[in-house]
Amino acid sequence: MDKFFLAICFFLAVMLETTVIQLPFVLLLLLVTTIFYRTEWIFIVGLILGIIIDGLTFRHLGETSLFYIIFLLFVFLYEQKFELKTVAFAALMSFVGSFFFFLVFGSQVFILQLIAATIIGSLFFLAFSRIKTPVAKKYNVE
Amino acid sequence: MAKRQILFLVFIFCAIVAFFTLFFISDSRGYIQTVFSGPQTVLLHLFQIFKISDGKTQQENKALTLELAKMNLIKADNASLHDQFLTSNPPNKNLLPAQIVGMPSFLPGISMPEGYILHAGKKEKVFINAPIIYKDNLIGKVVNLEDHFSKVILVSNKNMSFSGKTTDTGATGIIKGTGNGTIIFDNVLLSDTLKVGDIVVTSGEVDINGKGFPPDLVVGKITSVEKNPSSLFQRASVASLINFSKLTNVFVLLSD
Repeated sequence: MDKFFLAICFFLAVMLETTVIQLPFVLLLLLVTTIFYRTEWIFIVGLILGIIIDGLTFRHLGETSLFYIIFLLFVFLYEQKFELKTVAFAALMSFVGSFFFFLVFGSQVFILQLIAATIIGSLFFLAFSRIKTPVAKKYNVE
Repeated sequence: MAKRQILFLVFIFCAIVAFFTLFFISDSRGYIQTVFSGPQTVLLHLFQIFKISDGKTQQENKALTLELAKMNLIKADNASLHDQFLTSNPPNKNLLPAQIVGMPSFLPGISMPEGYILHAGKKEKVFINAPIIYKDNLIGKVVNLEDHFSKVILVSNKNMSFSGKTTDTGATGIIKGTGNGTIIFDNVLLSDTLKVGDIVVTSGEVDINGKGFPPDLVVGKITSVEKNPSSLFQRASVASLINFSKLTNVFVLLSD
């Protein structure tokens, strides 16, 4: 059920990002999924979604995938230093990820989009924290 | 330690696939676009329905909202086709109607899109730099192509620049996009006259193959003039007569 819900979220994020709103929804969802699931299949998901986004936005296929997997690697490496499952971490990584995303792929209104992406990343984290996940169940965390 | 090794192995595998895709598989965008064009079109028109209508729409149920989206799509198609083919410039035989399937912007309905994704491509004889028009207004040009889809930048895009003139005073200059829906009419000689309310049109940049911007396509109306006697040139701000975020169909001007 969790994975089905995630699949729907990722599909909606791809559609919104490539059609209507210039915000990195997929990047933020990947970040939050990494925080809660902490498994390596996130890289495969990031790879596939990046290729789809490149196809729909007329970028070179593989550009966005490369960005996503490098970003996810940093998130995983960061796990060794600090606690991941906090809204502060989610906000910080949303900010950093979106900053470099807009730097690499361009933006209309850099500062406003950056702020919006940080807020949305934090909201995604809060929404996910209310849903029971395998990690939450294992550690009996609400 | 084993978990870390698996992590790096998966990362390296994904990085290799991404590099391989980047350098060797660049022509497969068309398949991805074909699969997702349906949901993109529905989502885009749903957003345009909510932009146009008032708060009452929020109370309609989902089935009625989708029906409304489809009906408005058909009505918009008919209206734009009817309007376009009543105009005489450019000649109707060279026009290809194209549906907009994507127009990402920061705040839909508030900030202007920088470009469109159209459901028309190489197979429909669209070419790079093909002008995009709506009635007799220049909307933008094609910058990227696949078999059935193309990417368009608007006249207000920062990468857009072409020659233009005013209809009233005949002043010539360069029309440049500056982003977020704003256009300037720059490099106009101080000896030329620019006045607020004058219409700016294309000068015409058609090459020997019939490709390029034809003359007298409307770009917009002058809203303010900036004239400094100590400068070499004067400039004006131009506002487009078309709301780019409200369009659902445009027309590609094909070569003869």
